Amino acid sequence: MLDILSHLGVGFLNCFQPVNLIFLFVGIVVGLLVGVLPGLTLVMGVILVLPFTYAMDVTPAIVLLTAMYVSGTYGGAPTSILFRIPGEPIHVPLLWDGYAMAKQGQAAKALGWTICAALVGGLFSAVIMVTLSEPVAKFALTFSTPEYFAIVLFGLTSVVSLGGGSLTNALISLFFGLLIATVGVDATYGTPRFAFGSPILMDGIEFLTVMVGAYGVGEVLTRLGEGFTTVPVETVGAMKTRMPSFKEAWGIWMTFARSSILGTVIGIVPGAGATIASFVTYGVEAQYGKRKEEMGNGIPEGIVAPQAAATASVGGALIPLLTLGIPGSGATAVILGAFLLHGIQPGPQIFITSTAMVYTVFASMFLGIILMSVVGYIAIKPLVKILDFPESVVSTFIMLLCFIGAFSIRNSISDLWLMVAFGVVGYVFEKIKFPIAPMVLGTILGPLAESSFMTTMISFQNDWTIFFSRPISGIVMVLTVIALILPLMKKYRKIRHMKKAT
Amino acid sequence: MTAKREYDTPGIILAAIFILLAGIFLNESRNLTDSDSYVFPVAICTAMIVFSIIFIVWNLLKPHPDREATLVPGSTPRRVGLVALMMISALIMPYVGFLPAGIGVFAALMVLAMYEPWTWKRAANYALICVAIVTGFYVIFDIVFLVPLPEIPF
Repeated sequence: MLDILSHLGVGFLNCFQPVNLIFLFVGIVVGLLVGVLPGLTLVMGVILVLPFTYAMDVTPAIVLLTAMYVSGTYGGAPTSILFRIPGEPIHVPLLWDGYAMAKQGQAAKALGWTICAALVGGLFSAVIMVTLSEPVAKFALTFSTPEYFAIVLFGLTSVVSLGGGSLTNALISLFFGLLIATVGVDATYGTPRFAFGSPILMDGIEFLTVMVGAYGVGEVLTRLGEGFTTVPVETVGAMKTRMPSFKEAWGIWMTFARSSILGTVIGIVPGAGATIASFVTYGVEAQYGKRKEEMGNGIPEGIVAPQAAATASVGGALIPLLTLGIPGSGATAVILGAFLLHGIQPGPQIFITSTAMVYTVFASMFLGIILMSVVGYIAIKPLVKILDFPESVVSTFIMLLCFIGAFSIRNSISDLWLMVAFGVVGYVFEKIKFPIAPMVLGTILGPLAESSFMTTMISFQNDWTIFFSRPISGIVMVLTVIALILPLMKKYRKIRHMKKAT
Repeated sequence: MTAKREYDTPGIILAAIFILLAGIFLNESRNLTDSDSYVFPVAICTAMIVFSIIFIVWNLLKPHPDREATLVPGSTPRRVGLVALMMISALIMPYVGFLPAGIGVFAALMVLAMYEPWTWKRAANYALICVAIVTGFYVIFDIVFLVPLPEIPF
């Protein structure tokens, strides 16, 4: 524990270096702006900022992206509470009580509760992240390829089963992503695969190109076709934030504690990000909270629960990313991409090889959460004013960033073609209810899944039972099966329920 | 009153495309020089075909009465225009350079994305924004970050 604290101390010192501090601040501000703009999702925002990190050192690059990730979970809260416009799906539960409170003339207080919840939830998850990461990484060092394959498989299936919607659609999307990942040279045997004589495909398809295309271009395609709505922001002049007193906050400590713990745990689970955390905790509060009957009528518990959980999920999501190299959400997938672009493979080894960088990122989480609360408190007016920005310029700006982002990955025009192609794929997926996230995670985790599977087969003479006979991989494989079966059982039960009702 | 039986036609078409795609990959995997290199792709293709068939059969047998089977209405010409513009810019960029191609495409995209009526003032403002943003990006990425964006060849 002392080791962890001393590393964290060094991390704080590194964080106060001007370059890290500047990018931390920039990340917080940009994350807040991304959160405010409806339609511009957090994942997309992180993707769009990624090209700016190419020329940076790895530490400020990761500090910038994680700061954006943290503040993006708060950014949409003010517009959700004041105008009933959730900038992100994360903030939908927030408007149920937040907007109701604002309508009762307590908008300033509602905003204060949001900041307070983000601060408590974020700091709690940061503490858990720091405490758990090193022990988990040490444990993960004992893993061999069967364990890695089992964990990757669990990550993939969790994304599929927790993604909501149809399991079949999600599985097809996942396999499509895995198939994309097989294009190019096979990492284990060095065999060129599925290039179909095209030089564009010979070097493989970068998962970042897939992400930029599917999320960035796909989103602009959707927005472009549907037209834009200009949001009336007349009440900006009357905007204020009033923090709750310590006594008031202590009065609902149970809500703070419950939501922060739940948010962190949900963040750790692959596939369940801030949105699921915010919905689940609101539901839990509505079921088990002290004032459950009043939920939805504008009470602080209805604001604190989703916001604390959403911000707490960030620290949770960073644990599997840093300790196992497995991204559980879209935003952490982009952060993984930033690591890989800088030649660093996240996993247990980075706690040995890049200790200073890891702990600087940890320290930046603490500072980032505090900074986000301060900026959120002070800059509420200009933040909300962003809604006035012309949509056509915003969309074109996004496209330009997509363009540069895709090009800069390998300095190749071919990636622009691939980006456009995946933009169309992303748009089609979005429209016909095929989730994009499993496809993207398939392209990221596919090579890791294949190499760990093939290496296991080579090491254990093609004995596939090894995945089930080793204790850790066996347990994870069972969890994988449960993760797949559980949603099917839920669906079956729902159908039976509906049949009974009719 | 009975609900109208709606097939998820776009979904069924997409699943059929996936079956075709997996078939093409399966066929191509027979030509791989190393026999172990096809283990993983073949497993994925097979799974993709199986789940796509399940999707199609399920949708044909149990059409969802409440399912939105058609694409969300919207301006298709604008969407097609965007894709066409992106392709044109990828095509011309190596020949004319990032800056001219970027400004041209950015301006065209703004026109495409504009849902409000144009005025002279607005047009002038947007033209300025367009030149400023693209030039700004060029300076940041090409000069500061040293990303070798395609240069003007003359």
